[in-house]
Amino acid sequence: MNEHDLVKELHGRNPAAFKELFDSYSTLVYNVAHRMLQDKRDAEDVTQEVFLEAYKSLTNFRAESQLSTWLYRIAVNRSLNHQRKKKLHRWLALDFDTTENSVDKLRLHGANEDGPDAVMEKKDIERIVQGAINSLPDRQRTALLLHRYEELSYDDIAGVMGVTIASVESLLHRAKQSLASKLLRLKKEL
Amino acid sequence: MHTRIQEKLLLYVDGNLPAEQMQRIRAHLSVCSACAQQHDLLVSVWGSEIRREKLQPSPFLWTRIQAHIGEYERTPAFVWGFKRAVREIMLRPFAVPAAIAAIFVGVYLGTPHEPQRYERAQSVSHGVGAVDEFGLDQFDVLPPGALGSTLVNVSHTQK
Repeated sequence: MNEHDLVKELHGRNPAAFKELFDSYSTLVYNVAHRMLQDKRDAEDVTQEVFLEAYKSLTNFRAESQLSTWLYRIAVNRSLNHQRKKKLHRWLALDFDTTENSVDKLRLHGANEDGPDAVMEKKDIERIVQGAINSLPDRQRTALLLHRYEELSYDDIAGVMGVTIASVESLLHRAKQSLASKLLRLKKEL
Repeated sequence: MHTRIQEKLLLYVDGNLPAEQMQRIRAHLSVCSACAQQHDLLVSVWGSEIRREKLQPSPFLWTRIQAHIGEYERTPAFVWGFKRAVREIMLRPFAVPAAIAAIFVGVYLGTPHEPQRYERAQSVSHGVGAVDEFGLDQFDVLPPGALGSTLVNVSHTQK
């Protein structure tokens, strides 16, 4: 089914169409959530919320953007909300550990025990990069994740985040400037 | 100078700078070993191959979504609207401070703040005026040890 027909069936609340939507986009949504939350269980919870939200809002989807853009938008917003909720719960539980997903945690766990001369494994490098990205402000982080890992164009990112292309360029520019010093510092210390 | 160059190194690695800046940084890297080393470090970290294989969600995810949809269909619309509104409000940055402030205001309003009236009531009840105030002359003298006997008997004695 092409996207136009799928949207038409979704407006009619066709269960088979919704299943097709899930089959086509669940991996995409799950990976975006996982990139943003760095946790499989949280990513699954958010994926669930995204599709439930999509189901409730099907009649409001006007097909002015692609289905993927719409789902990306819901996934990003839900992931950010989920993160804020977790922070709030930790704060209320008087858990002020700030090392989760932070640069400091990489120092605790990221050191290569084979010694400074050992070649750093790819997954260590990825962890360094992901940790540095996680320490960015929400909007910069979102733009960078969508650009680097989801390979979205500036236009698509602007559609997902509801901003202009110029804003996306500015966010990516600032993100990369901040990241440069973080990555250099981390690489030296580990 | 070096800090400003190093800030732009990631943009340089990705080719996200105007041609003039790219040329200037290239020229600087050819003469500055410190910045060239930083550049090489960044290339090894940022330029390494990105994991592009997609993770797969749990095979039971669809079943869970169907269950939630079923629950949604059975629940009246206004309940979902209310839950969503509460969730949206609680995620606002001001929600927690506002809730804490509301608790303090409630405690303050619920605490009595007029000790003068309480003390005045005490002095009235223990003084001569108590007999007239409370009509204590209508009551018989209470035996010693009875509840309130001190107050009533004092009043009678004073009278």
